[in-house]
Amino acid sequence: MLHIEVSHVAKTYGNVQAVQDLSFTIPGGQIFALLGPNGAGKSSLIRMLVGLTLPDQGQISVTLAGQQHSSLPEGCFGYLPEDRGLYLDKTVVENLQYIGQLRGLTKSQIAEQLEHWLQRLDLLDKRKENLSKLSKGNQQKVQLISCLMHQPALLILDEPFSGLDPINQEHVLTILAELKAKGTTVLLSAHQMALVERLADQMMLLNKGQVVAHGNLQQVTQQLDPKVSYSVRFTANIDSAKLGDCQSVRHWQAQSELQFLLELHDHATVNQLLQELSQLGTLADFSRQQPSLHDLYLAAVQHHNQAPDTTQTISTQSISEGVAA
Amino acid sequence: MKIWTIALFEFKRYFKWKQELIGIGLMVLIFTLTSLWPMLKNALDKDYNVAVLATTGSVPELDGFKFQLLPPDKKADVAAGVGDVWDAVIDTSVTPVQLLAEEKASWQDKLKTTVQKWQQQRLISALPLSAEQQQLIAKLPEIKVELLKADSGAKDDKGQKLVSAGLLFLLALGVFSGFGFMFTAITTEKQNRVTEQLLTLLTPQQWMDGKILGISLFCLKSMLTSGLFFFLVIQAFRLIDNKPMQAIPMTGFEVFSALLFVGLGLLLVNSFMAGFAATIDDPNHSSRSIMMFLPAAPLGLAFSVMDNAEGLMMQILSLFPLTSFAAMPLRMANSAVPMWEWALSLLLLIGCLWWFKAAASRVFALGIRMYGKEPDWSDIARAFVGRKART
Repeated sequence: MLHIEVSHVAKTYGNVQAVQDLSFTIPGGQIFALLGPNGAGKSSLIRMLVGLTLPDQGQISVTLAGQQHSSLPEGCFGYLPEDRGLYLDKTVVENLQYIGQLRGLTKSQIAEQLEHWLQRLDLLDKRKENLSKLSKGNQQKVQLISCLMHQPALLILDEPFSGLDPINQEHVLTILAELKAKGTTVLLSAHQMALVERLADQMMLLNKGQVVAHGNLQQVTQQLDPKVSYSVRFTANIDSAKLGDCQSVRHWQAQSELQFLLELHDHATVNQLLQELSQLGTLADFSRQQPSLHDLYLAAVQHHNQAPDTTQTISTQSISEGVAA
Repeated sequence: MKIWTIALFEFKRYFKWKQELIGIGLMVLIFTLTSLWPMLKNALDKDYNVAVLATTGSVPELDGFKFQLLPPDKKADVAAGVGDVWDAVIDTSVTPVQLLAEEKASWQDKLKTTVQKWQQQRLISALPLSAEQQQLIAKLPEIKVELLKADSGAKDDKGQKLVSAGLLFLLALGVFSGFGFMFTAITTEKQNRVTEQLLTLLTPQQWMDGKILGISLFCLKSMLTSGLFFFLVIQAFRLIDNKPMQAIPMTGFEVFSALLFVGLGLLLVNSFMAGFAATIDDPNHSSRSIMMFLPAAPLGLAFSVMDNAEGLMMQILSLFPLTSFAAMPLRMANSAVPMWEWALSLLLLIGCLWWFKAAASRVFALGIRMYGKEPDWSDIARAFVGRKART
């Protein structure tokens, strides 16, 4: 398995600090997602990882089969760039054969891999068509095959779901899950939070080149400090004005005559809330409302953009310590 | 290995069997039409009837014309038939000789020249001179060239001129093909965003070397096939004219040498083009595209001194590594070149190519990763000399 350690990496383009002092680890055999709005630094970070640009400071260290490398060893990874591109005047097979040859595969290996992946991604009947004649989604699938055909230990995918219809998005999800099961490490950047939520073992939310949150879904949710709310349903009508008198309730909102959405004060506990609610009426249902990653992402980025300086940024060091604790 | 894979891919990008066959077919068609044209023209053109009014003697000879000798006293009858029976009448009984025709026509110039020579011969024959004296007047005096150094290697065969012109033409074909293919290949790859993925598989140097090799080989192929075709056309025309086959007035070593210099020259020129093309973002709007014509300059310089192959300027150009690939083959086709000069020129060219390729690959690496903007001139210059770019 391939394991990546990124330590205090920074990159500046002119006056723009694309990546600022990032440190994190991508454990082997896991799916690691980079999240963030456009210009957050995801692609800059990926370009440094694959060796297209060099960091201004910091180090990237790679461990593969017990050996340590200062950069990704040739042939061990597949890279799907954000700016897709293959030869439009060449056929699907010609493009993939060329990439396969450059990756050092033999003719029979290329033929075997093409047969497998073209069938898997429903491109067999388009194998002799020029790339220019394919839809954007199909072109993207061809590009994905070019990253997979040499069975890399690490797959780096910059926005792999953009341009794909929901069926093909599911297809790619399944493939990534299978690759993970086989021990492939996957690093991807994406905007589709719902897909990332289902797929990623670890995620890192970036904004303006800084880490906003990092960890598994639960840890990220905690770090983003969501306003936890509770959904309450009574068996019979209550005097809703009395909800405002509850000491534990900061804010409430009626969803129907019987159902309410409540937000708690920071010091309040769930037990205190339940006691106060039971005095108002009989509870038919009580549940904690988990905000979606999408909502958290939007709120966190908005909050981070309003922050005057980097002190709002969550230190990856403290995250690691927090997770360990 | 990767370089060869890229070279083969680039070669095949432009080499299409179908297009090659169509190209050869078109050339054969043009050749056939060209060779059949005189026959077709002769078959369609009518013969002009010309009456020659003279007392005695021969009549002029000219293809496409029928001459008939008539006594001068028939002039009135003959003149009445001009435009109907006769296209022209030549009256030798008056001075100067009169050419009578209905109206001005282009064929009359040809007829006039032939009649002038014929009349001159007649006048000479009428002079009270011996046959030898008449021959002396009629012919230009001969000049025999004698050389003190018989083995100086100077060549004065007409074939040398043909080879020189042919070499220059083929070289121009190779350089401009390289310009077109390299420019299109690299700017299209940048616009189609092919670069990102390939640069994780290859170093910029490997990619550029493969491109240069593949496209230079394709240019060389175009030069050789075109050269061979023109050579065959010349031979075919000579065959039609019942002339002996035209031999190539070059030794095997000279041919090998020309191929060597031209091949290295193409690599040099294509290195420049690859490096420079990578700095162009949008070929439709970049003012830098014009710089890609710069490699044509050595051809122009070599052409300007082609008529004095033994001159000092040609000697300098054939040694200077940026022009020797064009000048040395031309010089060798026209005069003998000392072996030490040949070897020095080759060494300088190889050395220059080695350095230039590395410099161009640094410019290539700088430009190929840039989208939406172009590196400025100072960054290109810094990359060329091996210093880190500021951006």
